[in-house]
Amino acid sequence: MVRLPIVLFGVVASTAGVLAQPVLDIPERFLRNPRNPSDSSIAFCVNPTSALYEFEKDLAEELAATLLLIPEVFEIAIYQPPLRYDFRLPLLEQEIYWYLLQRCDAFMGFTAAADYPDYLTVSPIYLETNSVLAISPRFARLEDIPPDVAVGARILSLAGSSLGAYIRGLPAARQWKLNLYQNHETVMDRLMDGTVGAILIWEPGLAQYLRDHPDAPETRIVRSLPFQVSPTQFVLALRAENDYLNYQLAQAIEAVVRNGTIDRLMAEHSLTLD
Amino acid sequence: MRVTLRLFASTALLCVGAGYAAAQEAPASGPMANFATVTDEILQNPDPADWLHLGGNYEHWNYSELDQINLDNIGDLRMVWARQMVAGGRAEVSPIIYKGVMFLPNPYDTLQAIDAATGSLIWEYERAGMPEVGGRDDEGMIRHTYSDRKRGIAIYGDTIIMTGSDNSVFAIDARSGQLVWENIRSTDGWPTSTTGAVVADGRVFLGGSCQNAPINCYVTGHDVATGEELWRNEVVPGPGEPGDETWGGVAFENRYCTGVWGQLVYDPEQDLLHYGSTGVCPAPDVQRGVAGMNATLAGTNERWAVRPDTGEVVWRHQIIAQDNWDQECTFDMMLVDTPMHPNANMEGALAVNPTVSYDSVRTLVGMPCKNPVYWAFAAETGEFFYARETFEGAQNIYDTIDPTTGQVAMNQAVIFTQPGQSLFFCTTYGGGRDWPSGAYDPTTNTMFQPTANLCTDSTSRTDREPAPGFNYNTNNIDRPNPNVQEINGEYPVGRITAVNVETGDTAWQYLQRSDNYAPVLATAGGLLFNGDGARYFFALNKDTGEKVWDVRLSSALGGYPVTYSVDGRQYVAIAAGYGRNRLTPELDGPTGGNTIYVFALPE
Repeated sequence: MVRLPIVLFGVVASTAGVLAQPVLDIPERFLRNPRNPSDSSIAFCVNPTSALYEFEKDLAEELAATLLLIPEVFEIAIYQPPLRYDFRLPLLEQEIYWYLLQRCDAFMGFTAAADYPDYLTVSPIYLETNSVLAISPRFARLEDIPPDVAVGARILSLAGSSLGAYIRGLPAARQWKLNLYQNHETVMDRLMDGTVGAILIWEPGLAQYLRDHPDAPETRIVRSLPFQVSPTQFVLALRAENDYLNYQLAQAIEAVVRNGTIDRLMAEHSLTLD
Repeated sequence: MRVTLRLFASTALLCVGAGYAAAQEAPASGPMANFATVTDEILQNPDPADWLHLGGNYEHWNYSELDQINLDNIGDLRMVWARQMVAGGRAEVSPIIYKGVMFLPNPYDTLQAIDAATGSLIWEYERAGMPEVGGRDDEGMIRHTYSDRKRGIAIYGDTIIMTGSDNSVFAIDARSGQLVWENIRSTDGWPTSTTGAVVADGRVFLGGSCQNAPINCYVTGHDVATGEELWRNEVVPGPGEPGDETWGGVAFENRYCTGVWGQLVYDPEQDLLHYGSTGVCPAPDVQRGVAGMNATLAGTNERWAVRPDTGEVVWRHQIIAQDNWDQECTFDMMLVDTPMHPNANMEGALAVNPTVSYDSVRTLVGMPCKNPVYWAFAAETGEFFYARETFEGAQNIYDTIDPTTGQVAMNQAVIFTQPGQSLFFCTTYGGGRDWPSGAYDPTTNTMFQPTANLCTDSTSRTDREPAPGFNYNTNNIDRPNPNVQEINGEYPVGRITAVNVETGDTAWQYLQRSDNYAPVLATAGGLLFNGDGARYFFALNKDTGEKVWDVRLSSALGGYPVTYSVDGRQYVAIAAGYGRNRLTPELDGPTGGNTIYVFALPE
C-alpha cells in the first residue's frame, strides 16, 4: 500500500498558515473540514469541459494502477461557457487549491509555467502538446497564400502572439492579415468555411475537431513552423506540502511515459493528427 | 458588541428596519454621547476636530487646520494609545473620526468604532458570511484577491457606509454597529471596492477592482437611504460604442480586468464626480494580438467627470494610451481653486499649455497614475493645463503630450511586440505612485506626492497562456532609475515631491533610502507626515522638506496618517502592518501585526 502524508493534522496546520497569506483569499469557512484522504485510493480532479477530459480520466486510472491505488475522479464544476477543443482551466489558482483541499489529491490539466504560488507544487510534465499550421487545400504551402487572404489564430494565445510576430517580420508586401478569434472552435470553423487560408492551432483541438467533423475539407498540416511557438506542457498540481505524493506521482508519470501509455491514450482519444 | 451577519445571494438588496433618515438619539453617556446626524453641510465644511473623509475633505487635500502639534513641539510627540487590528492582509486604512469616535475599517470586512481618545472598543461589525457566489453553494468563493485590504469608509446621516468583499455596499448604524441596508452589486465573485465609497447629497458612489477577473468593472451611484442602485457606468466600450475601434479588433469578451478601484472624488461646488480607470490585461500588446496597431484602448487609464445624479459623462481624458505597463490611472486627484500660470520651464515638464492663464480656476490636479507625472486640468471642462514628471527622467513611457490638448502618444520602444520580449521601463507595476495619496497645503498652494524611484525589467511571458487569473502575464523585476543619483553610496527608493500648483514648479524634493509606500498628511502646524517600509512614522517641515521627527513602530507603515482633536487635544494616527521595502533588503521592515497607533503631545 502506498499512502501519502496528507494526514489531517498536516492539512489543518497548513490551512492555518495559508490564512495568513494575503494572496490566498478564500473565505475561512471554505477551508474548514478538509477531506480525509483514503489509504487505498487517490483522487484526481479533472475538468469535464477540457479537450483532454477523456484522456485524463484514463490517465488517472493508469497512474493509480501504477501506484497500486484505487482511482477516484472528481469532475470540477465549471460555471462559465465551456471552451470546446481547448485545455484552459477557467479557475484561479486559489480555487484549484481549494479543490485540492476539499476534493482531490492531484489536479489534472494544469499547464506548466515558470513559477507558481507558494501554496502549490506541480508534478513532472506528463504531456507535451504543440501548435500546428493547418492550411486550406487551396494552397500547397504557407508561402503560397497571397497577402489578400487572411490567416487565423486564437486571440490571447501564445500561438496567436507568435504568428502575429512572424507576420510583422515579413516584408510588407507579403504580410497577411491576421484574424484573431475568440476560441479554438471558431478559428477552425473559419478555416473550414474559407474565411482564412491557414490557421495556427493547438494540435489536440484540431484532431478532435476533425474527428467531430468528418465532412470537413481536407487540410494540410505543417508541424515544422517557420517561427517558434512554445509547447503547451501539462502537469499535475498538488498542495505544496504534498512532497511525498509528488514523488510517487513523478515515478508513476515516468512509467506511463516510458511504456507508451501516454501515446496510446492520445491516439485512443483522437488527440493527435498522426 | 460583536455583530455578525449571514448573507444570501437572494438578498441582493436588503433594508433592515425603518426610518433610516430619522435622526436617532445619541446615548446619554459614553463616547457616542456627542454623536449627531452628519449632514451635507457638515461634510462640506468639516470641523477640523473631525476627520470625515478619506482624504480629509471632499477636495481630497489630506490637510488639517489643526496646529497644536507643530514644528516647535513635534519633538515632544508621544504615543498615547495603540490597538491591534484584524490580523492578516494589508492595513492600508483611513479611519473616520467624528465627535471623538474613530470608525476604523479593517482588512477582511471588519469595521470598528473606537473611543478616539482612549482606544477602547465601542462596537465591532464583522461581515462574516459571504454570499453563495452564483449559487455555487459550498464551492462558491470570493474570486478576487483583495478582501485583505480596506482603505476607506464614508459617514452620512447616522450611518457608516462601507464596501464588502462580496461586491457589496452597505450601511452600518454608527451608534450601534447594526446593519441598516446592503446592496450586493453582483454575485459573480469578481469585483470588489477596496477603496470604499464617497457619499454626497444623498447618494453613494463607488467603483471596483477587476484585476484578475474575466470582466471589466464599473462605477455605480446609489440612494444613501436604501442602497438602491441609481446608475452604473461601464468604462470599457462595448461593440459599436465610441472607442470600440481603438481596441484593435479585440472582441468585447476578451477585454478584461479594467477597473476603477482608486479613490473617487466628489466636487460639491461643481456637482461633478471625478474618477479614473485602470489598464488592461494581459498587458503586452503582443499577447492581445494588437502589436503594431497602435490600439489606444479607449476607456482604460482615463479620467472621467460625470454628473452624480445620472452618471452622465461631462468630460473624459485618456492619460495613458496603449498601456503595456499596468499604470492604473485610477488614483485620487485633488480639487484646488488656484491661479493658473504654468511655467513652461518647470522641472520635468512633459507638456505645458501655452494658452493657459487664469486668475482663479478650479483645478483637478495630482498624480492620477502609477507613472510619476503630475497632471492639471480645469475641473469643470477638462481643459489641459500641464503635465510634469516628478523629476526629469522619472519615466519613459510617453513619446509626446500635445501641449494644448493633452493628447498622449506613447513611446513605441517600450511596447511589447514580440513574444518573450524583455523591456526596461519606468515606473514599475507597483508604482511610482500607487494608491497612497498625496496632500495639498492651501496656505502655500503646494501639493505633495510620495513616489518610489523605481523602474522595471519586464518580460512578456511565453511559459503560460494569458488568462484573467494571470492578470498582466509578465515577469517583472524592480530596478533603480538610472536618472536618480545615490546618496552617500545608497540608492534612495523613497521620494516626496512638493510642487506649486499654480506654476508647476518644484518647491522641494525629499529622498530617502526606504520605500515610503504610504499616504501623506499636511497640517497647519507646518508638518507633513508620512510612513515607510523601514517602520518609521516621520514628519517633514512641509515648507522645506527637512525631516523634523520620526519614531519607529513595530511593522512597515502603509496606513493613511490622519489627525483629529478630542476635548482640545490634537491626535495623529496611522495604521502599521503593511508597507513595501523594494530594493532595500537590508532594511528591517517586517509586515504583519496590523495596529493603529495614535500620538499626541503630553498633557
